[in-house]
Amino acid sequence: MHSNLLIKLCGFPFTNTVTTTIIVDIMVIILISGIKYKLNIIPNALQNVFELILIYFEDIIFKITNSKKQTRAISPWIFSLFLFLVISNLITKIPGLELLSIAIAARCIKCFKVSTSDLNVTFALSLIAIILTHFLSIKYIGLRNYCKKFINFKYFPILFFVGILELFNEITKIISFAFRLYGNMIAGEKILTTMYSICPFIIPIPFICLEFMISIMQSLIFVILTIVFMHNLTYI
Amino acid sequence: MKMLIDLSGGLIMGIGSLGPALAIGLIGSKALEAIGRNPESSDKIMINMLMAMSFAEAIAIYSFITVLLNLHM
Repeated sequence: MHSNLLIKLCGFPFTNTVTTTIIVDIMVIILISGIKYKLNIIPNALQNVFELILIYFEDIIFKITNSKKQTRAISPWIFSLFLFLVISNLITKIPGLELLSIAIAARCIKCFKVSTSDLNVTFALSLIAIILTHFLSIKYIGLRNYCKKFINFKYFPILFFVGILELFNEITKIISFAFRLYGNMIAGEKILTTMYSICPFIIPIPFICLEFMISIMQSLIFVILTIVFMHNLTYI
Repeated sequence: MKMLIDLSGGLIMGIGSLGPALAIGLIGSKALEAIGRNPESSDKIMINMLMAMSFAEAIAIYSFITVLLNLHM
């Protein structure tokens, strides 16, 4: 929604959030392959940072799920989601990157915009997270136990309707995931724009700090909620 | 009509963020109380607190999105 159109390639609208997403993808791939190329028992600085993040997440996942097997199954997905989210939330905070703009039809349009402030991106991410949850569930507890979570005839009227509610809950999860991230990022953008238009000198600094905190926090919350949903569906 | 739309935006945001603000304050105060009583369990409480907060915050975000949609209609 409301990301600005740069050009149309073969009928596909190529917006300024697409450029940011592509740049973030390239950055993640280069970072990870570079670390993998120089993997060592005595880690260098970059590898040390990434090991720190990885160990932190494995710790969180182990605390939530309480089992080694689930931790090994969940953690790679979680780590890649978090890396993409945090880099795409923070990349436009690089000074000067948001100033790059081109003129199209007598309007000044930014080349780069935070990719998670586009509803399409967040919706795609939440779809990935939820579909992944169901896929992992079927893979690790089997189709029979997976179906048992939604269709249950044990205490006939009660658990049957609970199962139907759970089924609807899966759909609302996708929407709430997408809107939470999108709303937070676009709210931050609007606040910063307002503050810059009031006084561009010293006043926006605390809001920029708040923005930093929120963008890290939101990616963390997205990831933690994914962990909890995965845990709920991958234990019998 | 334009004035009504503007007014509705302000009202939605004001009333809609009342509940989540109270909820987040309550969650934070209770979590801090729990951490004060039992500091060893702060990690577990922190994760659950963040989760509950994000659920409460989502309601304010929905109202914000409604306002945005209203303004662009």
